Amino acid sequence: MHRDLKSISAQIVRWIMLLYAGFNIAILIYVFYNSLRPRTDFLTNTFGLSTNLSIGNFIEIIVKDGFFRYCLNSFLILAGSLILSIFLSSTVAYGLGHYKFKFKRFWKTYFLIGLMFPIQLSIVPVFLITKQLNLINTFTSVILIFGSSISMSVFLLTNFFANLPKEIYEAAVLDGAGEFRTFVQIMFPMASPVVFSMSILTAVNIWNQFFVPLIFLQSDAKKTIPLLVMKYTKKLLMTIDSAFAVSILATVPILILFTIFSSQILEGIAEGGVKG
Amino acid sequence: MKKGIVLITTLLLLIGLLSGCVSTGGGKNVTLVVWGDPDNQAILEDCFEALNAEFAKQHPDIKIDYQWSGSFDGLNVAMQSDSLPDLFWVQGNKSSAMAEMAENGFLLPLDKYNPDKSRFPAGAIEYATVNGKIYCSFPSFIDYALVYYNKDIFAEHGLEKPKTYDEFVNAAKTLFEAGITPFSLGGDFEWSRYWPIQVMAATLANNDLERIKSGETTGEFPEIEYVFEQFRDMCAKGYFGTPAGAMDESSAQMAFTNGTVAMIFEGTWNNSLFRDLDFEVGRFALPDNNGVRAAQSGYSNFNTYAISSKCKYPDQAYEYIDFLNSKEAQQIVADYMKSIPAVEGITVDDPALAEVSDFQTVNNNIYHVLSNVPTKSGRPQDVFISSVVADLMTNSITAKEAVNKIVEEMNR
Amino acid sequence: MITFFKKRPYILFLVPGIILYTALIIYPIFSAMQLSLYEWNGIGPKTFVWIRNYVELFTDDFLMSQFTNALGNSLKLFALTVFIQTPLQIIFAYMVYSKMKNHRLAQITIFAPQFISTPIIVFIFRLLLDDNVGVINNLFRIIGLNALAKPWLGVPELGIFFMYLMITWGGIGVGMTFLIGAMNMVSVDGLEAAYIEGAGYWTRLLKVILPQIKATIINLILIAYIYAMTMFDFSYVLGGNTGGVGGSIDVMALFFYRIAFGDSNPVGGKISSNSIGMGTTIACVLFVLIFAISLLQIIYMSKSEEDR
Repeated sequence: MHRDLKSISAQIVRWIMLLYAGFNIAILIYVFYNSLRPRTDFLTNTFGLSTNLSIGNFIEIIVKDGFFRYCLNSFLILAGSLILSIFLSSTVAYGLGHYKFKFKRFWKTYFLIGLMFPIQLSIVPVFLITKQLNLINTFTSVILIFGSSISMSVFLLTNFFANLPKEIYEAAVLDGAGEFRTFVQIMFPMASPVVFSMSILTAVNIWNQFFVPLIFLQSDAKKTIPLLVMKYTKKLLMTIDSAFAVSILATVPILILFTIFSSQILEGIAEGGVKG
Repeated sequence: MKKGIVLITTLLLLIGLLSGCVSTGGGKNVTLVVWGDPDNQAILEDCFEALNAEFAKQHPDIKIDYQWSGSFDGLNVAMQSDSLPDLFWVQGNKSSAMAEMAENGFLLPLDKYNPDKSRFPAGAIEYATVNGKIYCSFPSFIDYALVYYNKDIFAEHGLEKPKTYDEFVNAAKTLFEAGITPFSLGGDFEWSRYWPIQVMAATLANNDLERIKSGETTGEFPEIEYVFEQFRDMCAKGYFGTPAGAMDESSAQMAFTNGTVAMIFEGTWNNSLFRDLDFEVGRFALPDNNGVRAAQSGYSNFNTYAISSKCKYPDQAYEYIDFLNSKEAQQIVADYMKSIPAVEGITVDDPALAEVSDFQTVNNNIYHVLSNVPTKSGRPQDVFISSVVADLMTNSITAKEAVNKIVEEMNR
Repeated sequence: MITFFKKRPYILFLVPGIILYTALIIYPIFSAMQLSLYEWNGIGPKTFVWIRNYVELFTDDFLMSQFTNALGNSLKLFALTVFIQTPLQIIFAYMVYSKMKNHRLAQITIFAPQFISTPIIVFIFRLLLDDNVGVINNLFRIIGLNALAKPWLGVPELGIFFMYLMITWGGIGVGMTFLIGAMNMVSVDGLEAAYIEGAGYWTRLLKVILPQIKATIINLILIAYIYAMTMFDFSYVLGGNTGGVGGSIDVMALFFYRIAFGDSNPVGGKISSNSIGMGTTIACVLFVLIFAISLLQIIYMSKSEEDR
């Protein structure tokens, strides 16, 4: 098919891409190498070869800060928000995409509004709501906020459901399946590639969020990984050793997971993006 | 059907999460939530762990839930939604914030507990006072900005610690001509780019600052203009690197710690940053042309906390304030932070202390003076810190225009 | 009752989403928006002032200059995305799509920074571009190009480009992957026919593939527009509240945030006693800017759907 991929221009682009890829790997290695150095060694001998590499910085973060607790917190928030967001967005998108009713365009637009404001705007009213529900400094508050931010997912999924052939639905209804059962057993599974793609993107987004957790989770026992990163990148000079170590700890495990599942993830996103 | 089960389990899980996370307070002991200095968690953490451990020993019935709220924004949101923690960190009269909080009824006045003022200097009490009432624990350490310098670079170029302002300017000139950038400046951040002016204004423009303080807000301010001119000139010449101050705070500090630049204007609160370097670090308060070294008035806010007016256990919360006011607590802070004590009887084990305490007079702090100008709607301190300093640094206004801008704002 | 829902089954599907979304996303937005009609600093007394905040925003020189600067920067980010990032994504996607050698490796490593959070991305770029500890500056010094060794991130005129570089580095992968997906849907017959007719490698991309993935590209551009208008974290982490020296990396969302919440002063709102009132006013103007463009896009999309 692409027998002329050997052309010079294509080869140049290819090498640019590979250089780019190599650069990304090199950066990670550089950060990792520096995370093994004591603070003064990096500051005074930045480009020299270090003589005393140790995993002391990592131990500091893992033991003293209790890094795994931050991981667990991040993970619980991610799982909760993701489940809520998938449930809400797929039902809404199905309702909007599959059925015909009045004011449908209004509701479609309504669900897009959430994309059009910076989250910072609504932080005070949301804080008041969570305060009334007695949810301040709980994961639930953060999960509810993330889980309800479904604008993007609804946008992607609605088109998908709208384009599904009606015959499948009609066959299921003829078999006597109710609306909800049809959705759960037939329509939702058909959407799973799109849902998967969407979930990955939502997950990445939630995992890296720092503003909402910053405001809603105050005690150290509840904080998430990005907040731990912020703690050490704020006064960089004082804590640059920890900043290196925490960057590696926050990044590398995720990247390893990504690499292992990369074909599923990338293909999922590719497929989901088009169908949505 | 499997999918249905998954969905139902999911919902149940969610509901469980919703109901399970409501925190259960209780017990006879009182728990107080305290929010620390959000920007300095990494630096202050050990110190407050020790402080809170000592407090727990003295007051086994009061549990302190010490939290780092993460940012100023957290405090903001808490205030606007009326959900402040029992106690939180404040900056006293260093900015107008505490006064605004007090005036809007967010803080508990502490006078009814009769805090013991005898150990504290007048300035420390003024720090904690708004409209005649005391609102926070008293500061017990001094903070001011001064010049840190690289003794090795100075020695290489035959320079010594400057005894007068002219010597200081000449030292910078000598270094610059030898191809060494004299200073680094964290120009990215509104506070770090302001330190040189705070230092120079205290040394060279104290009379003008006194005039403003005594209510004179119109006319000429030649000394302030001179300071602005000096700063602008040094920036334009490249004394602060080219482009001037094109760094963030930590890069500027790094330029100094790696020995690339010879000096940096920094606060004593960052003293611990400049330890254990592979060259010898010197420090001096900036002298004027009579050789008088001046510090700026200012107290460390590391241990100043206020009580929310909505606090349910004000008596217990005051115990914490009282503890912070005690000599023991201050000694713990001194042990960890190595700050300059403002009260008697605190010992600090730090070789740098002699150098940072070497000043003959404590002059005015320009930002505080501007913050306290009584104006109707003008905010001279904000115009100064957020636009004038940056404009001088980038050479986009003259010193004269800069002064006029502030004068105009003082009279708005 | 039951027949009501039987006739309108969509209501049951919509209700849970509508309730939570309205309570936690829409209601707070509108509750904040109505504050734009008040003079309020967040804690003191509130005064109803009608549209005076809007008038002030557009007539006050100080606010207007910040507004135009921030909007200009946001639009610059958007333009850079359209004219640099999107073409790059298309070219990269095409290379991966046509399964060049090592395409898997390239795709994974180019996508990977997506998983790195903003403070870390900024930290990494500091390590590259810092004047003292920056790798790139050090390389310049080693090869003798001392004039090129600069505190790059602090040069005000370049600030926005470096910030854009970070955003692109972190986010180029998603759009690229979407495009690969879109290309996979293009029918092979047309491509084969074009090849036989002698169309070269790049000509086939231009003539055959691009017209067929137009919808995906337009979607990406809309998302880029919304992103540029609401982007906050990079400006905030990099340049603090003022958006760099002289507002060089100030953007719309940060402008709103600075006016509403301030920085050095925990009570917020540095310049006026009307911080929240003016802040929400800016946010509402921002909303109109986004909404208008999105509406155009929605109308266009539903029109092309009807054409199909």
